[in-house]
Amino acid sequence: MLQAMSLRKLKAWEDAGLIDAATHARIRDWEAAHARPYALRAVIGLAVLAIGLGIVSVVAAHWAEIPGEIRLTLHFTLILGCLAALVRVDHDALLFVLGVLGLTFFGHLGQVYQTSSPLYVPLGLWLLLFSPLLLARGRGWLIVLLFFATLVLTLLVYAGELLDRADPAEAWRTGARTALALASPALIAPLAAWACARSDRPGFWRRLARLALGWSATLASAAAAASLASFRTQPDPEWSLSLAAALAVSTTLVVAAAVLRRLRSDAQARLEPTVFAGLAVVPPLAWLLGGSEVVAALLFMGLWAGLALAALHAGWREAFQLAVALIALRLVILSFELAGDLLTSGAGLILSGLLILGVVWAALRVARRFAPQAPGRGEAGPG
Amino acid sequence: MNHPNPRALLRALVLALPLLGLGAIWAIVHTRAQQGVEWDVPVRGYDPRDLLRGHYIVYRYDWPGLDAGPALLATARGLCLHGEPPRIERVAILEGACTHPVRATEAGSGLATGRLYVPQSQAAPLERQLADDSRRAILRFRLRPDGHLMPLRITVEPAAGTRSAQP
Repeated sequence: MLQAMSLRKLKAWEDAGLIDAATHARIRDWEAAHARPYALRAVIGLAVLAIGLGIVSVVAAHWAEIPGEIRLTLHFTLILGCLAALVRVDHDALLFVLGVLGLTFFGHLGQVYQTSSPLYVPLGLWLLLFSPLLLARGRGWLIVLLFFATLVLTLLVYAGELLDRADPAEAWRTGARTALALASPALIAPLAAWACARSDRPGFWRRLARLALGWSATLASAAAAASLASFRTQPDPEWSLSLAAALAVSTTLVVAAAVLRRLRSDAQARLEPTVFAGLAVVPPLAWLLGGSEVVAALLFMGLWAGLALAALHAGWREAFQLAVALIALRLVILSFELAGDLLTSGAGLILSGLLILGVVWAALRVARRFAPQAPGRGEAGPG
Repeated sequence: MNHPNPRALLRALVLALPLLGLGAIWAIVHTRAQQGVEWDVPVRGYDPRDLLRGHYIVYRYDWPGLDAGPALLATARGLCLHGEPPRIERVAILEGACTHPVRATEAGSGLATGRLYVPQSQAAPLERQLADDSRRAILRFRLRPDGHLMPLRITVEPAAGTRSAQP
């Protein structure tokens, strides 16, 4: 069942002397023998899809009338089915569906039994039950993101709850606990480095390590951004809360750097612990020096200049370009912070427009000229 | 010499964990839901709805015989129900011994307000009825022995005054 176009091509190739008549005939025979009934499969697929959608809509239409226990049994059976399929098949999409079914099961339980608990409890339980499976079997970005995003969301919700219930007399404890919760995903980086060396899925662990690094850089950037305010000169609840938070984040990052340093001794891999150690410096610095626009901007730009340098060493093109873009953006923001009255006069507007254009032009030039080449994914860069 | 391969064993464990865990959690939630006795309490509508978590009706309790403001309810350890289930005769702030205690939980909406999940099709009419002053909404809830309150359903009936006016 060779397509008309392919037949024409074969004929053309034969006429042009690229293939001889015998080859032409052999190709046609082989194609005929290996033809796949796409049309038939499409029709069957369509029918199955229609039946599936029909079942879903019938169930959905009567969802409210189905007793809760039966709905939960149905939900549980779907989870069981996914797990049974995973005994034989390894597929990210299946893992993802299973993960989402598991997450929604908690919400479903809450609806049927009218229970309520803080959001971080079901999310945490889900992480406890499902992350071993996701980490043991996942391969691509889909699973990496499902795991990491849920982890970060859980910790954010938990940190929010801690701050809501904070007792002003226990500012130290609150600050430290909140910051430790938020910074703990940094510890995924050494875990990933350890697993990467032993796993048959190094790509999965490298992606996870990149997210851990990205989250750590986000926290350090947040600290740099917060240094617009001077926490050092504020009265007590803020004073101890912010100092405890800065020290806790810093300590976590140092621990991540130290473990990474022990795990990987080859010269190329020294870069990663250095990056984490560099990030660890930012929160205490932000606390000590904070209080002016210039300091906040310099801290932020210094942080990302360091990261750009590291990306250059590691040959990580996207990270380098991101760093350059962020520095340029911060520079523009700083110019407005320092000279906000520029926007009130015509000449000022022209000047600030020129400034933005200049910064963007310089950033583009740097990003193009100095960025490392895209490949190099195989090497052991920062995650 | 038929040693189970440790890798295969681990693989099976990792697959079994979500199933066993979810099953256990379901069993615990189900068992807890069967305990305790059912009570009735009048409730009033309360805005805003919790949009984030689907179709919940948020209501405010009208505890009979309790004249305590929201501030007192927010700090109280719990309430003590007096009466024969399901009829509450009066309610007092929990102090010392009590046969039917309701305890405040950190997680729940507390002693002043609560919420009930209702299917989408019933949420809007029920909310309208709750807002209507000529009707009286009664919440049937289950009080577990540990003092945890589990809302079951809301029924709406004409208020007592209206009923006598229209026999």
